[in-house]
Amino acid sequence: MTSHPTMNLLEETSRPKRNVAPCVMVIFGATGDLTGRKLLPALYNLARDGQLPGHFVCVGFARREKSHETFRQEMHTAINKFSRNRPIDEELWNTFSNQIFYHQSEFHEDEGYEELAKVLHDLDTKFNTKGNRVFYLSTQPSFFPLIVEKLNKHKLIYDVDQVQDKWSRVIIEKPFGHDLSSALELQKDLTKHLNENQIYRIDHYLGKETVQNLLVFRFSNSIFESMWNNHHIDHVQITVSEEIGVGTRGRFWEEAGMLRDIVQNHMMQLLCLVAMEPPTSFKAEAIRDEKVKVMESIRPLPLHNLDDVAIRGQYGPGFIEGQEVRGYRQEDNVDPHSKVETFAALKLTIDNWRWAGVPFYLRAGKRLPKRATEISIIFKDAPGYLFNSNTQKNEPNILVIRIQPDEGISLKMNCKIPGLSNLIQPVKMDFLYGSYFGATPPEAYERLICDCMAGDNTLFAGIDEVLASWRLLTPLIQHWADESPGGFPNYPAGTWGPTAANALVAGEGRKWRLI
Amino acid sequence: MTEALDIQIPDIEKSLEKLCESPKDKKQIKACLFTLIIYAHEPRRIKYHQELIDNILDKFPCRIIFIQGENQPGKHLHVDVANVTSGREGTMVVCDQITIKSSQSELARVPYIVVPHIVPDLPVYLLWSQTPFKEHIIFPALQPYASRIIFDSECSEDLHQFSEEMLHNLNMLKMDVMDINWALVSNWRDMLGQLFDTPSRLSVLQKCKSLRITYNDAKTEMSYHPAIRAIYLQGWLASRLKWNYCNTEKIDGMTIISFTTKEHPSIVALCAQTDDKLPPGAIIAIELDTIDGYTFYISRKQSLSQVVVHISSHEQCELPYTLPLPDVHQGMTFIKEIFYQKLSDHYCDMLKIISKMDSTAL
Repeated sequence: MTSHPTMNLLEETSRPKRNVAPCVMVIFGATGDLTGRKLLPALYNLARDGQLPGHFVCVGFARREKSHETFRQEMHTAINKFSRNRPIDEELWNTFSNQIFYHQSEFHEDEGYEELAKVLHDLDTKFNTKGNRVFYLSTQPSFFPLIVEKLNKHKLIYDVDQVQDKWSRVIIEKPFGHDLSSALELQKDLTKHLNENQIYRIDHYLGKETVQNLLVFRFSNSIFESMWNNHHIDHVQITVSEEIGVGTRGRFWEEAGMLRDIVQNHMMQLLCLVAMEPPTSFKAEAIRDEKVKVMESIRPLPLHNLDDVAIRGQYGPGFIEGQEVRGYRQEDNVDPHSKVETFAALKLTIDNWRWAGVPFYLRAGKRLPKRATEISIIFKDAPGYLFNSNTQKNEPNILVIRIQPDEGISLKMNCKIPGLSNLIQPVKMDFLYGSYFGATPPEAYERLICDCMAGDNTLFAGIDEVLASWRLLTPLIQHWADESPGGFPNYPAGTWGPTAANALVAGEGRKWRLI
Repeated sequence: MTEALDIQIPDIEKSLEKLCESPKDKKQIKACLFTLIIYAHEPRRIKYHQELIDNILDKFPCRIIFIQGENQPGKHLHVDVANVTSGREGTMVVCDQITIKSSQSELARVPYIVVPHIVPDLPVYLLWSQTPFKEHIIFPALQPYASRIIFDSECSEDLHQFSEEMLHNLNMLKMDVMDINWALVSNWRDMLGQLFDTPSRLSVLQKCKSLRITYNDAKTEMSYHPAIRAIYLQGWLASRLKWNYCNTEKIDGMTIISFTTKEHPSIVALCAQTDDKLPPGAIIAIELDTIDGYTFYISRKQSLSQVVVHISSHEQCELPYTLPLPDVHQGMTFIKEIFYQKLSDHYCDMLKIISKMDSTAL
């Protein structure tokens, strides 16, 4: 065995090893919902599975006055409530909690950052975290430029050209801007202080196991990839359906709406993963390049005819699982005359050789009958009417990729009913992820935080993708802002959205798949 | 596991289907990711392997074909089938287990029973619990079907001989091979790699003059070579640090292994200690002294997934800190190690060291 001089002689090169370096992770907005619900449970589970670096510290940064101990106690409660591994392992927690700290400051106060720099320096000495930093911005988007500017001013962000022995990375929660111009503005503000490869734009959908499996499914199974084109596929449907309403997020929702909150990021990412060409490698740049090509191949929405390709809706009062629920306009912190959409359906057309003529229908809604995220590939009908005396078509084959819940893949095909006749019955071949690999895969945030520590931004959204998505959707956002929707609310809670959404597909002899 | 049904050999598949049909009151899914064939010759290891099977099935559903070679005189061949279930959020996942018990005289028939019941198109793992390549009836017949062979060195009577056989045959076996005990020290290997992760730390390690590995000597009816993982770990470190083996002796119940390095001699002590909370053979602690006065003491925390590291020198004593130590004895980590990791040059280099050791002292 010969060792490369710089290689660690104890490391086996054949073992897939993630170089998760020692670091401090600072969470801005640490008293917010996300920290307790997702971030700390993710860190705890990483620690539990031995995936955190040996030398690791987490610092919560927020405006409220709080002691380290109070913050730890709150996080203990949150982990016990939201972690996929419950109850909490107290012995592990005793060690892990000693690596959690709290730092109080306003986001705009220089003193807070000065103090933070000292705290981090001390923690580096005590925990051997080697000066590496992950800054997780879990705040309102309006604070992103300010925080990054302050971090840079206080030398908490390293110049990648000058500093090679340690690193600093910034994770930015969605939304990245609220339209094209604001996204460009934000990018401009961030890149004054950060190199693009220091920015990690998180879209937690990309951290889901089943979303990652999409790439494996497509590019390691030649049987499907060879049919993955307009010769065989009639159309594609992507559905993100939630039965919950806006709940306590009324104020946020009034500013965001379905197009910004779900379609622009999660759904466009799913569309890209379904439609992209095989990347040349599984490196971040190669995958991002292919996704951008898809985005750029999507035909711009027709400005003169937007209502023919985009339907919006807002839920009124109705029933979910037999229980009466309020309409959107009756929710807390919502304008009683709100025009904000809680449902969006789009028809997109990709103008490239693979997808010419194959419409992609996207729909996302709140207060729909059930929670489900699915991608349905509807194949073309078999030619002729061999088995039905030329009177009726056979059911099309449908490949369904279920992202959540009951993650899995099913294929619908036609089968002869036993007997003397030629009666045909559609049947399903079903693969349930949970049955084969257990029901508690790592949470998306675990994977994404770990990837950031390892410097792997494959599962984070690149700026080109984000801008391309905004470029496509901004005219529609503008149109919907300018034009009164009329007729809102236009679907009762507990139904599959406005009837106009059915017309969007029915006009072409298709229908939404019942989920 | 459902109650095993004694059946006639031609009825294996029919009986498995019948078992899966009942009971009707629970939602059941039959799932299989691979076929796992286990050959256990030692009666003492049968219970151990049944625990291993349960551990695997809990995470990865598969079809188990468990061959138990029996030493009693006479001719007998006995087959039973059972369903093994594991519960996942209201759904029971059902797996098949076929158990074949055979006297020595009937072993030649066993491969003919096994082969028709291998699940087609999926990987086949052969877990071999005997000195490798010493068996000439079942192994040659099943090896061509195996995607990977997993050896259990603990079943080998002589570790020295095991190492020599493995070294001799590894290059000839054009397939994936794994050694369970190598997999079971992967967490310590990774942790040490993480601890000595810089050139300066590595140069400290190079100056190691004594290494003391404490392992769990808890005796059970299932295990009988509890020192194997400690031997593997010291063999791996010795090979990585390019030490030359001198001799092995037993002193006061400890195994003392002497090495020389380029600059100085180095002594390894393997110390037995009983800890009922840990699996037999598990490494409990490592203590390492260097010629320039550094001491590294790494011990398990009671929670199996962490170690505490104490580093001191003549001049200073660092604050102790913890490092993760994934539990490789069970769960997904164990399965990933034995079914998906590959052996590397590190393993062969370790075997070379062990094959030089005096087997009588091991």
